[in-house]
Amino acid sequence: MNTTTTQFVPPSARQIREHLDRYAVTGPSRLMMWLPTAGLAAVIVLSFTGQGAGLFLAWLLLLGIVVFTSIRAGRTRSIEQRAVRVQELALLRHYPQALRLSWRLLPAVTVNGEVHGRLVALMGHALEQVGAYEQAIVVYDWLIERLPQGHPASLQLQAQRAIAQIAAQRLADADRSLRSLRGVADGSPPGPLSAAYRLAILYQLVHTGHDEDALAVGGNLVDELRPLGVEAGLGYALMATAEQRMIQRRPEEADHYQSEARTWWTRATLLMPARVLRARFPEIPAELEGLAASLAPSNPVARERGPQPHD
Amino acid sequence: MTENETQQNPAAAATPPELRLTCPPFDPARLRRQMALDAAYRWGVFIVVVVVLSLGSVLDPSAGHLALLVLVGMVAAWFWLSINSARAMALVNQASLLIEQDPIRAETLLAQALKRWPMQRPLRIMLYHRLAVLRHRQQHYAEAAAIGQELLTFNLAGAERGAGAGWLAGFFSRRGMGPLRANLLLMVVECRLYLRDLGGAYQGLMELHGASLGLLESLQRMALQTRYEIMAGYYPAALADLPHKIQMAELMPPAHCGAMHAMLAVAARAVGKEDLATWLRQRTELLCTPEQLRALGVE
Repeated sequence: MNTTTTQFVPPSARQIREHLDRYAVTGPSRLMMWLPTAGLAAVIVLSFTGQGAGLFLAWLLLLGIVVFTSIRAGRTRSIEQRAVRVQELALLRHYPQALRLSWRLLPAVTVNGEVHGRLVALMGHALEQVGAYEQAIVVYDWLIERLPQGHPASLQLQAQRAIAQIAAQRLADADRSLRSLRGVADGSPPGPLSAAYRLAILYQLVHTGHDEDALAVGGNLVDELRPLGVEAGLGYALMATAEQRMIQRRPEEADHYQSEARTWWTRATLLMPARVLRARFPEIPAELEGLAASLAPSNPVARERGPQPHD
Repeated sequence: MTENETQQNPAAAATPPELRLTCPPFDPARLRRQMALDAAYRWGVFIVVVVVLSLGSVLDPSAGHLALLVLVGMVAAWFWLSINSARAMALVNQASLLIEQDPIRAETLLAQALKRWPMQRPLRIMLYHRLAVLRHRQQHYAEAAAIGQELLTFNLAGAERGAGAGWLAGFFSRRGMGPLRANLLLMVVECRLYLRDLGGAYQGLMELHGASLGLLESLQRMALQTRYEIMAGYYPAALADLPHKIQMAELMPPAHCGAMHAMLAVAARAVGKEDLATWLRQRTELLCTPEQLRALGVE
């Protein structure tokens, strides 16, 4: 990753793989864990066997143990705070900064599996959001390989990976990912996993031009995508895209499809700005933005709104 | 356990009745007494060890053996404290995972942990914190607020660094509000709002405003403040800096984001901004269900 210029250049897929392999989780050092205990044992022995200098050495050793454990505790806390900072940056959609910090922090967290996993997942999310799909896939693969099969985090990552694979035109891989998720996601209660899976399926169908199939998915889509929050707007925009395309395919039902396209586009733009939707999914036709100008509900706060979190 | 609770929570029904324990009603005096006894145990062991180490080698050989015996006893006492704390910590950690899914089992585990003595100070604080979270989950807001308020009177520096950090943590802690203190304050403010104690909620909010909070805590504070302003009828204040509030609300989990929109819609309607209220209401419907709104106390 280029860190000397202000221009953000994401690392290559190979660099990512090497970085992750080099700084994989190693667990805490046994020597570091037992050092304070060994030191305390030495203090006891010295205090009973030594006289004068020996006793002084015992107290010095005790002081050393106190300083050592305090420095270790302080370092652990500092690393955890920086990991929280990465999370906050990603939440605020400052993806290049989140990526930079997680990249630099990774070597320091190899002893803490939980923080390490969190950082790598954030790295994958940030890469996906900046459009570095191949790199994001590498990160997701790396994490999925290391999580137990069927682990909720693994399933969630598989859904995210499928979306990245579609965007990177790796359609066969995406299809395989979605097939492996089908049984689990279909049976799971409404939640982030089933919502991410629905979005991935919808994206696959719209991306490959299966618009009629995409419309068949839409029956209960608002309830199904609700756990995604404002990101559900992406799914509604894909539905609007499918409806819009159907106008050309079935001109005899143009009114119906146009009306449906308006409804979905209205929902999409209620949650996310049109330019953000199109930037994320280039499949969304520009004609839909025309619909927004005439039909979408006016956003009363848009005029006074400053920089948006999606910017 | 009522039949209704059993139906809602099949996991709870699996807990045999003889294994179900309940925590006694919270008594601040008992918490203070437990903390004092824990401290007396720890400092007692520490002081005896220091005295023996200092004097052991200057005494005659026969007294040296006695000193060694005392030292071994004190090491055993310290190990007992550590083992007891480790067992209690396992119970607290298990309870923390169950608070949402199975509150009855979580209460049983916390009741078992509460019976243990001695315990490290940060762990005792963590135990009562989880009890407050459980009471909040059970909608026993008065008790949750009382526990939170009492915990806030203690120095939480050690607990902020985790139970394993020990007594050294307090000496090396940074000034300012840590996540545990912020979390307790946020919970106390929310409980006060549920209890319609606007004065108490205001005090908590003022303290939160004086602190440097992380992003997640800032989002919670914003939601609580908006709720407070609407309950107190300060609708223009609730709508102040609206673009920023909406931007921040979008960073919240979907249901909370929807609840925030619903509250802002109420404020917009109250000041006669119907367009804004409609727009906010439409977003609310896409972000959360009426059931989720009710569960978050927003009707």
